[in-house]
Amino acid sequence: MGRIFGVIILLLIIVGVGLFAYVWKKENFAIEQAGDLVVIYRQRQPKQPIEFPHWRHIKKVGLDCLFCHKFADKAVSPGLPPLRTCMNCHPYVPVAKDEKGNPITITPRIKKLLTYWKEKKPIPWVHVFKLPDFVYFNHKIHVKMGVHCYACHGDMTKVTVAKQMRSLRMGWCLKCHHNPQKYVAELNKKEGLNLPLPKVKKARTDCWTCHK
Amino acid sequence: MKRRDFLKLIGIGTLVAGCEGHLNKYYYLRKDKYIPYVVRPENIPNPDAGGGDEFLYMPTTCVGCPAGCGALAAVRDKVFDGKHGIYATKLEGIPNHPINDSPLEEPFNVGALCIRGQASLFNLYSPFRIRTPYEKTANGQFREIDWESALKKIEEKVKESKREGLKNVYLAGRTTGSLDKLIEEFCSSLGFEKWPYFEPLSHSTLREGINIVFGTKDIPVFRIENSDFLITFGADITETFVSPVSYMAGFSRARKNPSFRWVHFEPHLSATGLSADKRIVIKPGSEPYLLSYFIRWLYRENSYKNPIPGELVDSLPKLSLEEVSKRTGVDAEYIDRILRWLSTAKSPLIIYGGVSASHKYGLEGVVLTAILWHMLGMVGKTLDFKNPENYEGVGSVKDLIRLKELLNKGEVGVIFISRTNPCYYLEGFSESLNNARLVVGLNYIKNENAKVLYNVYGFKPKLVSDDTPEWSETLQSCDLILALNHPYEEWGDEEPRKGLLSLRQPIARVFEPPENDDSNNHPMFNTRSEGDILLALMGRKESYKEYLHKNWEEKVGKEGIKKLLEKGYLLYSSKTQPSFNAERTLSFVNNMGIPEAMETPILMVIPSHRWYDGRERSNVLLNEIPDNLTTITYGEWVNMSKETAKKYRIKDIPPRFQAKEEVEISKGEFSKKILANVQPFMPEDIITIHLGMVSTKYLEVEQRTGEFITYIENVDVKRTKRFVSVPIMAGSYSQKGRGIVPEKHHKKFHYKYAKFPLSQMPYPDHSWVHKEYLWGYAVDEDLCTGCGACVAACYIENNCSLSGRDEHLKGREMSWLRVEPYYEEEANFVLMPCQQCENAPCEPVCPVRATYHNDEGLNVQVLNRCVGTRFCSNNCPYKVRRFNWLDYKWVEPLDRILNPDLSVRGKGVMEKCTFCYHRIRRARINATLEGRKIREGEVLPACAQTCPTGAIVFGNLLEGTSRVSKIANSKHSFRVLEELGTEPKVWHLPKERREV
Repeated sequence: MGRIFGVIILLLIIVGVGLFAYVWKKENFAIEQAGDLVVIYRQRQPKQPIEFPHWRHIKKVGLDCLFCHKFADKAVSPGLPPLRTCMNCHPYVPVAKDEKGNPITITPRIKKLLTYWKEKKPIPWVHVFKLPDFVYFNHKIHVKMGVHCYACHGDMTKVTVAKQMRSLRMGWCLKCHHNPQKYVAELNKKEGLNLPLPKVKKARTDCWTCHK
Repeated sequence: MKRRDFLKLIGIGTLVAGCEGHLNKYYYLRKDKYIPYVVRPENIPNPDAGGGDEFLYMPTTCVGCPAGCGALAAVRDKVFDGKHGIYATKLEGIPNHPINDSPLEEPFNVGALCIRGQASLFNLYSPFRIRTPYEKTANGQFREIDWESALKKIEEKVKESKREGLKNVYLAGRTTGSLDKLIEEFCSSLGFEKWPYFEPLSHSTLREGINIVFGTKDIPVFRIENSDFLITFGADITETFVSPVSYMAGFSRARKNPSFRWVHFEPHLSATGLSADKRIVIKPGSEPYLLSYFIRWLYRENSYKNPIPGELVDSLPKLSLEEVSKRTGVDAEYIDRILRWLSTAKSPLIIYGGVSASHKYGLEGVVLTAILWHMLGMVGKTLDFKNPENYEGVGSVKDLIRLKELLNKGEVGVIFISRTNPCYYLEGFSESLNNARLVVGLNYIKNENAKVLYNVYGFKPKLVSDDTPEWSETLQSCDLILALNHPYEEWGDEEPRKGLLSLRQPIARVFEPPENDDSNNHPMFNTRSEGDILLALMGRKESYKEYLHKNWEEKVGKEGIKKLLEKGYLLYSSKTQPSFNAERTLSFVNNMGIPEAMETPILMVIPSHRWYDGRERSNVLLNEIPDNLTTITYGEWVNMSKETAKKYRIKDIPPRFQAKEEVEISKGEFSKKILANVQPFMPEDIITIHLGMVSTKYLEVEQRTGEFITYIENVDVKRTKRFVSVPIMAGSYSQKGRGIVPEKHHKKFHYKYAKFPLSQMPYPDHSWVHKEYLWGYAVDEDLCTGCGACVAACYIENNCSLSGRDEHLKGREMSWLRVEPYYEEEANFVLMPCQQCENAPCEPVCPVRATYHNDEGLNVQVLNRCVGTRFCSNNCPYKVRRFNWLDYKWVEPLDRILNPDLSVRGKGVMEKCTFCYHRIRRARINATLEGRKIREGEVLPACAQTCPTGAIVFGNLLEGTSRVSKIANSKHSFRVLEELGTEPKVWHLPKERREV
C-alpha cells in the first residue's frame, strides 16, 4: 500500500511541477528582485491588432525610440505614433525578400496597416505598460534626467510585440529612486546592456511624488 | 488553522481582490485600449492617455452671466468612444483682461472668475443637454428629427406666412458681436422682425435713468479701484450686479488705499452688504429721499465739483434730516457722517441698482444718483463711459408684453425663440405662443430651471425632482426644437463692453479621423451653431466661422484678428464721455413721484449668486455648492428675520437638524409653499426669495422702464405645520464661544495657550525635514466676500464628487473647501481648506500610515493606502476630511470634465484638500529641469487662482520675503483653533470694519 501511495504522490508531484512550469512559461511569469523583496509578476504581452516588430525597427532600421514615441521627452505620456507616421515609410520601403530574392514591400502585417489607413481608422493598440490611475508617471522628467527607455521598458531589441519586462511594482520603482545610478549600473551588468547612467544619485521618494 | 493565520489569509485575499479597490469603479482614466491618432492635428494638447498633467490653455469668453469675462480653458486630449477629442476640464480668467483682470500683482496675476463662471463647464457637460433636433407630434410629444427636414419645415412655414401676410419674429436672449449682426441680416433678408433681446435682469431702469440725465443708454463701467469712498444702493456688486468679477477686483484694489470706505444700503440682506465696511438697512423704496437730501445738502454746503441748476435742487422734496431719517429708517447720525465723508472724498463713487432700482421709484433713485455723479465729478474718473457695458438691443419686459399682444392678435407666423425662456418670466406667454403658426425654439439645455436632486445612487436613481417637466416652459410650447451647440463648442465672438471684442472658440470638440482635416471635427452631440442655422436658412453657402472672420476683418483688420486669436480679446474703439443734460433732468425731477411707504410684510424676489436669474438652476455643481448666506444646497427656501418668524409663530430650527418649517406665502393669484429659514441680520418684515425658485410671473411691471417690480407688498404668510428636511451644510451659525474667528476677548485666550511646549505634545518634531519648501496658505478675510468661486474651482480641479441631495442630508458632502458663515455680533466668512497642520491630529491615529507629514510640510493623504477606518476624520478638529461612502457618479456626459491629474476616488477612501499638490508637482518638475527652485507665485492652488478679490495667498514659508510668510509673521493674523497646538498652516487676516 505504502509503495502505491508513494508512486501516486511522486506522479502527482511530477504532474504538478510540469503544470507549474507550463503555466509559468505560458503566462510569462517571471521573478524580480528589488532590494529585499522578491516579486513574482506576469510579463504581460497582450494580443495586439498588429504584431508590431519592435526589434526590427530598432535593430535593423536603426530608429530611435523618440522617432515614434515622440512625446517621451516632452510630455507625461510618450504618445503612440499616429498612423500617418507609419505611412511615411510603408509601403515604400522593402521589408523582406521573396523566394527569388527580390525585395517585397507588402507583408500580411503591412496589409493590415494599409487597411487601417484606407478605412481611416486608428489602430486600437492595447496598453502594455499600464499603471493604475493612482500613479503619476512623467516620462519627460525621467528621459531628461538621463534614464534610458530600456531601464524601465527592458531591452526592446529582443521583442516583437511589446512585453512588460519589469514588475512595475512600487518596490521596483523605489529601488531606482533610492539610487538611480546604482540601479542602472547593476542592470547593465545583469542584462548585458550598455545604458548611460542617470544624472542624479537620488530621486524623490515622498509618496505624493508619484501617488495622486 | 489558527485565528492568526486565518486573518492573514483573509488579508492576502482582500489585497489581491482589491488591489485597485480604492479607485472609483466607474471611472478608470487609464483605459485598456490605447488609441493613437490617424493624423495628428496641430495646436492641440499633448497626448494624455489618462496620465494627467497635459493641457493647453485656450482663450474664450465665459458664458456664466452677461458680464462676458475672458476665460482661459484648460483643454485636454481625451478619448471617448474610440475617438480623440479636446475637452475643457477647467476655466481660469485671462490675466490682464479688461473685465476680469486679477487684482494681484505680477507673479500672482493669473486671472479670476466667479462661481458661475467656474461652474459654467457643468452646463457644457450637463446631463440636460439637447442632443438632437426635436419636432412636436400631434399628441404633444417630442420626436427626434434630422436637421434637413427641420430646416425644410421652417422654410415652408416662412413662405406660407409670407403668403398670408403674417409677421415673423426673432426673439433671442442678449446677443452681442457678430451674431447680433448676423441676426439682423437674417431678419432683413427673410422678412423677420428682430425683437429687442429679452434678458430678465435687463437693468432697464438703470439704463433709462442714465438716458434721462446723460442722454445715453449705456451702463458705465464702475471703476471702484479709482474711488476712495464707495456707496452702493442695493447693487449686489459681489454677486450678480452687471459685472461682479470686475467690481470685486476693483474693490480689492481700492482696499490697498487705507482711507477707502464702503457703505452699502439695502432693504434686505445680501453677502455684498456683509462685505462692506458699513451695511445700512434702508426702508424699501425710500432711497430717493436719501439721495435728494444728499443733493440738497451738497448744494447747500457748496461741496460739489460741477454745478447743477438751482431749480433742480428746488424741485426736490424738501425734508429735514429728521424726516428723511424717519422715512428711510437710517440713523440721522449716519446720514450726516456719510455726507461728510462724501464731501471730503477725493473721488467718491455711488452705484445704484439691483433691488434698489426694481421698485416703483427705482427710476427716481437712478436719476438722482446720476445727478450726484455729475455733481461730484465722477464721470470720467470713477465712472467710465469709454467702453460701457454693452446692453445694446436689450429690451425689457414691456417689449415682451408687446409681443404677447401681437401673438394674441394672431398676427405672427413664424417665431424664433433663441437661448431664452420668456414663458418662465411672463404670465400667459406660453398660451399666446399657440396663436403663432410655427414656434421654433433654439437652445442647448432642455430645462434650465430644472430642480436638480442628483439622487443617482441606489435603486431608483433620480436626477431631478418629480415636479420638474422634461422641457422648459418655452420649449414645451415650441413646435420645433433646434439643438444648439453650447457656446463653448463653437467659434464666435462677443462684445461684453462696447469696443471690446472677445473671442469664443471651441473648447470641447470631437475629432473624426483623419483628425487634421478642419471639417472633420464636430461638437459632442448632433447640434449646430446658431450662426450656421441662420446662414443655412438664408441660403448662404459660407460657414459661420468664415462669416466671423469676414466680420472681424472689417472691424479690426488682419493684424487685429491675429491679436484676437492670440490673446482672446481686443479693445478696438472707445466712446467719448457723455455730458450732463440739464433740461431733461429738470423736466423729470419736476414730475418726479414721491415714494410712499410700502405695506409690510414684503416678499422680495432677488437674484441668486448661484443661479443668477434662475438660468443656472439646472447646473448640478451650483446646486451642490451651498448658498453663501444659509449654506443650504439642494432646496428652496425663503429668508426672514427672527422677529418676523416669531410674528407668524414659525419655528427657528437650528441648522444642525437639517429641517425647516414650511410656510405658504400668498398674494392674490400668487401662492407658494416654501421652507422658511430664519436668517440672522435680516431686517424685519422682509422676506427674500431667489429667482429660480419662483418665476416672475406674478410681479408687476414698471410702466416707464419695463423692469419687474420685485417687491410683492402685503403678502400673506401662513404656516402649513409641516416640517421638511433640507440639506444645510453648516452645523451652526454660531461659534459657540470657541473663537474660530478670535474676537478681542478671544485673542487673550489664544495668546495664553498658543505655544504648547513640544515635549507635551504627542507629535514628533519634524521641522528638521523642511529643507526647501514649507507651503503656507493665507486668507485675507478683509477681502473675502464669501462669493464661493474658490469652492467651485476646487470642485472642478480636484474631481470632488457630486453626492446629491439625499447624501447631503446624511452629511456626506464632498467639498474639500468650504466657506463657513458665522453670524454673531458681526458676520464672518471663514474659508476652511485642510489646515495641513504641523502637528496633525489625523496622523498618529492612522493604522496604515496613509496620512503622514511630508518634507514640504504637507499632510499627505495616500489615497491608495487608505483602508477607510475614518479615525483621521474623527480626530480632525477642523472637519475637513471627506469620506467616500459610495462610488460616486458623474452622470454622462459630466464624466468628460474629470481631471486626469488626480485619480477618481472610490468607495471607502478618505480624501481631503492637498493644496493642489498636482500643481506643485508640475511646477517642481519644470523647476528641476531648469535647475532652480520654484519661484514665488509660480504655483497657486485652484482656489487662490480664481479668487476675484485675490484674498487667498499661497507660497513658501521658508522664504522670508514671500507674501505668505509676511502674513504668517504679522501680528494681526490668526489661525483657527490655535490653542489646540496643531500649528495649522492656514493663516487668516481678520475682517476689519472700518469706521465710517
